[in-house]
Amino acid sequence: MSNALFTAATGMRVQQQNVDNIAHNIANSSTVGFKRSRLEFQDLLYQNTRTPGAASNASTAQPVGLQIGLGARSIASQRIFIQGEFQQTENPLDMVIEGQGFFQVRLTSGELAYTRAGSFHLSSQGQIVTATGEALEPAITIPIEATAISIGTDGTVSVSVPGQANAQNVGQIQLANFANPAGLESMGRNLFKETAASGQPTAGSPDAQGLGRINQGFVEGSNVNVVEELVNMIAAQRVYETNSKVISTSDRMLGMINQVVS
Amino acid sequence: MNPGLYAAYLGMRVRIRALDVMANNIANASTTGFKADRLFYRSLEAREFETERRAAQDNLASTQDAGQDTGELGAERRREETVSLRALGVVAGGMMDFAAGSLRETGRPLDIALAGDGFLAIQTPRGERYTRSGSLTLDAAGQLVTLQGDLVIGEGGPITVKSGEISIGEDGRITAGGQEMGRLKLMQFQNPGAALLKEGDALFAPTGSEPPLPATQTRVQQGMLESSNVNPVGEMAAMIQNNREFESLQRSVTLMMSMHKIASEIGKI
Repeated sequence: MSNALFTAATGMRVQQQNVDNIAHNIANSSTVGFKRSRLEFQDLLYQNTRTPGAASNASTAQPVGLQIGLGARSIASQRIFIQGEFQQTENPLDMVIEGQGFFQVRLTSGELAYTRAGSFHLSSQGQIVTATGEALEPAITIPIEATAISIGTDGTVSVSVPGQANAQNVGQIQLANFANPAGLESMGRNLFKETAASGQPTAGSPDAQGLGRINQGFVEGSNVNVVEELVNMIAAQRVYETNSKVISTSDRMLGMINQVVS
Repeated sequence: MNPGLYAAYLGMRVRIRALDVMANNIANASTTGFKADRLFYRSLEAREFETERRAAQDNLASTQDAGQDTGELGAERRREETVSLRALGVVAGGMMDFAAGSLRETGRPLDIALAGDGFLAIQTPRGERYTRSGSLTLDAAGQLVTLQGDLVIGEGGPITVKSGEISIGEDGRITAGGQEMGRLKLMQFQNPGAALLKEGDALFAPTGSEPPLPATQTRVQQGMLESSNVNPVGEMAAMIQNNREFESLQRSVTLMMSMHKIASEIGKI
C-alpha cells in the first residue's frame, strides 16, 4: 500500500554508498596520482496514476498528471581526471604528466595497465618500475654505472656515464590516452585497466598529439579536496537522516491505521 | 457506506500518497537535475465522488459475487444510494516543480548546468528525451553520452569529441583542441508540466501536447552541475503537517465508528 517505506530505504542506501565513496576519496587524499570519484544518482521508475493530457471529460483534458516516484539509485561513480597538485621531490625518477595521458606499465600477467602515478624506482636489474614492481612500457634500463638520470619533456631518458662527455640516450617514455578516460576501470594500486567503455588506447610520445608534457622531479598529488569531501559528507549524513525520518513517519501512519480497528 | 467515513478514507488515502511523493523527493535530494513533485489536493465534486464510490462498490460487489450471488436487489439498492448522497471528499493531483536547483561548481569539463528553462535533448532507443542533468561523459568512440549511455544530440546529430582541452560555450558550442565539434541541442516547452512526463533515470518524456521549441534564452555553464531542487527542510515540515492531518482523520474515523456502535445499541433492550 504505501511505497514511502521502500522509497526512503532507497534514499538511505544511496546516501550510504555516497558516504562509502567519500570515505574512499578521503582515505586517498595523500595517494600520488589518485583521481577522486563522484557518485551520480538518478531517480527510479514512476507509477503513473494519472497521465497529463488524459481526457477528464468530453471537452477538457487534465493539465497535469499524478506520477509517484519510487526513489533513487546510484548510477555511476564518475572518476574526475582533473590534474592534481604538483609536489616537488627532486627524485630523478619522479615524473608528472602535465596534461592528458597515462604511463603504461606491464603487469606480471603480461597485460598493460595505465597510471598517472609517476613515482618510479629501479629494479635490481636497473629497469624503471613502479613501487609495486610493474615495469614501465616500453622497458627502459638504466646502466648500473650511470651517475645521473635526466628525463626531457618529450619523455627522452638520458644518463651520464663516467668517462663519457655526452649524455647517453637510453630510451623514450611513451604515454597512452583514451577517448573516454572516465570509462577506465580502477584496479587499485593506482592502476587503471582498459574497458569497452574507455576505448582503445592510443600511444604516443609525450608533448605531441594532445598528450601532456613530462616534468622530472615532481609527483602529481591526489586531486581530492578534503574540505569539499567533508562538506559532501555532512550533506550526505543529513539527507540520510531525513530519509530515516520518512521511514519513522510512514511507520507511525501505518500504526494509526491499525488503531482504527482496535 | 457512511459518507463521512468515506470522505475520511479519501483524506487518509491522499495523505498516504502525499507521503510517497515526499519520500521520493527526499530520496532524490542528491540527484543531479532532479525536479521535485508537488501534490495538490482538490475537492471531489459530488458526481465524481459517486463514480469513484461506484467503482469501489463494484469492486466490492465483484469480490462478493465470487462467494455468493447478491442478485438484482443488491445492485438496485446501491444505485439508489449513489443518487441520494451528496458528500464531498478529496483527491490528489500532481505537478512538477520546475524551479531551478542551485548550481554547484565541479570544475569537470564535461559537467554542464543549464541557466534558463531549457533541456538537453537526448537520443534514446525509445525516442527523443529531455534532461536537466548535465553530468555527461564520452563513450568508447568519443561520442558525448549521458551516464546511461544515451547519445546527447547536437543540432547536427550526435557529437563526437576529439581529445584535447574541451570547452563548452554559453551558447552550447563545443570545441576541443580549438576545433568546433558541434552545438548542444537545447529545447524548451511553454508548459513543461503538461508537455513532459518523468521517466526515471533523470529523463523526461514528451507527452506530445506541444512541440518542443529551441531554447534561445538558456545559457550553458561549463564545470557546474544543477543540484536537485528538493528542499529537505520544507519536505520535513510538510511531512509533519501531513502526519498530523492523517492523525486527525484517523481520530474522526474512530469517532464515527463509536457513534455507529452507540446507534446500533439504542434499540437494544
